[in-house]
Amino acid sequence: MKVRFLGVLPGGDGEVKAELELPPGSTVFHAVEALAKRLSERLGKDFSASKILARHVVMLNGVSLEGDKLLTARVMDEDNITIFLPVSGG
Amino acid sequence: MAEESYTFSLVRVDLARGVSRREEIDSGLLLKFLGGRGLGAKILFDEQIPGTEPFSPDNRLLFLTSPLIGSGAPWCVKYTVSTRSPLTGTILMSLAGGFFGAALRASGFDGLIIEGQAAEPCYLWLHDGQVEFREARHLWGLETQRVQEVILGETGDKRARVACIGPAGEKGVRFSCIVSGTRAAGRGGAGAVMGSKNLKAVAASGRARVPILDPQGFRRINEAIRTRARNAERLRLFGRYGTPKNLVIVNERGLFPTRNFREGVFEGIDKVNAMEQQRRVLRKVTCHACPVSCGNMTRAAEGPYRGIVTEGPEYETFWAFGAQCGNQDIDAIIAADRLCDELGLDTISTGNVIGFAMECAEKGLITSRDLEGLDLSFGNHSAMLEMVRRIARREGIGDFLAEGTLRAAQKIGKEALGLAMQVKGLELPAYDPRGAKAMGIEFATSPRGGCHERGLVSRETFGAPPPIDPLAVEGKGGAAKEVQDETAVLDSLGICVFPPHNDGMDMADAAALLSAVLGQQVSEEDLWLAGERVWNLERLFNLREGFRREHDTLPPRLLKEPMPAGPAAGNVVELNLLLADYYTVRGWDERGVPTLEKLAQLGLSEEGSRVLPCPR
Repeated sequence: MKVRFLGVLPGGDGEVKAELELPPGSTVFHAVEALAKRLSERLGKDFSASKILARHVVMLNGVSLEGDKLLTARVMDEDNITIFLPVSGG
Repeated sequence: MAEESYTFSLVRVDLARGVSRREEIDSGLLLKFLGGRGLGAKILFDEQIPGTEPFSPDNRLLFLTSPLIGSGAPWCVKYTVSTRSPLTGTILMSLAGGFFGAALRASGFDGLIIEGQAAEPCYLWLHDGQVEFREARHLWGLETQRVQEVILGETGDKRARVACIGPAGEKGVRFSCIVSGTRAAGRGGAGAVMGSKNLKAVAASGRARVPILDPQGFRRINEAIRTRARNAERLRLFGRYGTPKNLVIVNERGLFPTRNFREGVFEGIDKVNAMEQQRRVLRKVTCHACPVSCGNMTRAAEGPYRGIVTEGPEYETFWAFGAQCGNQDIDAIIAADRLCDELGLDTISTGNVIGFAMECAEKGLITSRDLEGLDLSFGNHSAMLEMVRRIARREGIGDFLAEGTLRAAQKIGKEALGLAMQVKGLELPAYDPRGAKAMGIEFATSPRGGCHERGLVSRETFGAPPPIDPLAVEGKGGAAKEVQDETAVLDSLGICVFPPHNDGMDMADAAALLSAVLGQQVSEEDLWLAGERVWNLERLFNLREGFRREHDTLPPRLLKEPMPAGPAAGNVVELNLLLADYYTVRGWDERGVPTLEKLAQLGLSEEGSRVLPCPR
């Protein structure tokens, strides 16, 4: 499964692309948890899934997810999750 | 609050006679229209004879600031160029950041009304409350950076800032722009109006202090805004990357126009995005009084364009010379951006018209003979760059495309009209409203034609908090109106729209800043009303010039051809439903004409009486 994180990271880096291995039956929340763990290890700062979800827009294969769907939407092999801080301007 | 009265003064310049005179703006008028865009609409509405041709000497060209520009308040930087557009025939308000607005105020003038046409090329040198007319034959034909260098040398004033046109403005390219530093008043062809007046540049400098009648109050709010901005997460991210941050996001949301709006997802996004740009960024670039610095000085890294340096490209330019032209070479986009800045071309319209020509060539509507052997296929970036040069110089088919997408399509024929991605003649920018329905309202109703900048609903387009469903129709009239009115306030005060849309400041901050500067209480409600007033006055100007309900439309592709793939697959724009809702929310009738009640509420009855009743 591919996850692209376009949020705010310490050190000014704003994009992380990651491929995650998750057990069958995993949800979007599980994917974000796995990503938060990886970011914490890499950057030496605490990232929590709930904080990321509170501030960012999460899309599964191009569709925005909100509320319960963040917790319940199941992910499949080859799915794309995009997480971004909704910055305005263009 | 202070007892003194606030003065805001303009200089009226007659280029034909080589004379100028200072004029004071009544403070009541300033409170009603704020400055910049709003004041420009009022002056044009009052002074311009209906039907004045854009290239006529009688078409006024205004450079306007606001009471906040040059005050040191954060992001209060954008000067407005107002005129009647040669591209659309509508009212035109084109804004630019950088340093020119602050320099203009420092010169002792808050704005400039330019009338007539000079007999020979000239430039204006505004300094220390004086206006000098200087000859510019030696500058004619020069590109914009060179013009600025030469004029700075001639004035001997290192603090001077120059707003000028390039060869495209001289040649009357209908989407040529005005460049100062590396920032452009880009859209709608103000550069061509300037060229038609034989005016190559306006230079400004001085030591005049911007009046602030309640300095203590001003310092307090100024510091509060700056402190809050330092902790605004979204604003920090915006500053780090600038507008290109949204390339991936808009593409991900399926509304990134690709190959002349045939699709909404660009397969080359992994090669054309903010991170790829960051590998090429030399340094950050800022505007006057900006603690964010969203600009990027970028150098092309590879291939034939290696070493070319530009400020930008911004989101729109990455799109215009990227997805719109099917081009995945980021360094070619950097080269195109630099070329447009030097020649004085609006990058959005230039990329749009080239993408249009590429589709026409693909369909055989433009022949190889028309193109003089140029292979104008989607993705051919060397041909794309050559076309930029030909447009600016009006060479061959470039002369034809320099008229803009609508006029070019009208000459080619009916099938081409269906491919012209424009509204009222203004080429559309980098959002496909089939995937963001409020954007459809914005394109259809923006007073200068198909434009995103007068009312971009961030909650819809980017999912800014609280997000709204981009594909829904319900409620979009109100969402569009709210942002349009807000943007009219920000534009009129010269406030960059990016910080307010990223938690940097809000309408209460703007009201507090203006109150401190003017030395009298201005409320949030006053500002909202002023924004709505400006929007309606611009509508009256366009109604007087013959624009009607049928001009509030979109290209047939967006109305009839469902988006082929991506998150917005199957969608078209339900424009009639959207407009009916929007007109109702605006207090306009079913023809899109403001009602007498609405005009009375906004204090525009007298202006309305000069336009209404509107003939069908």
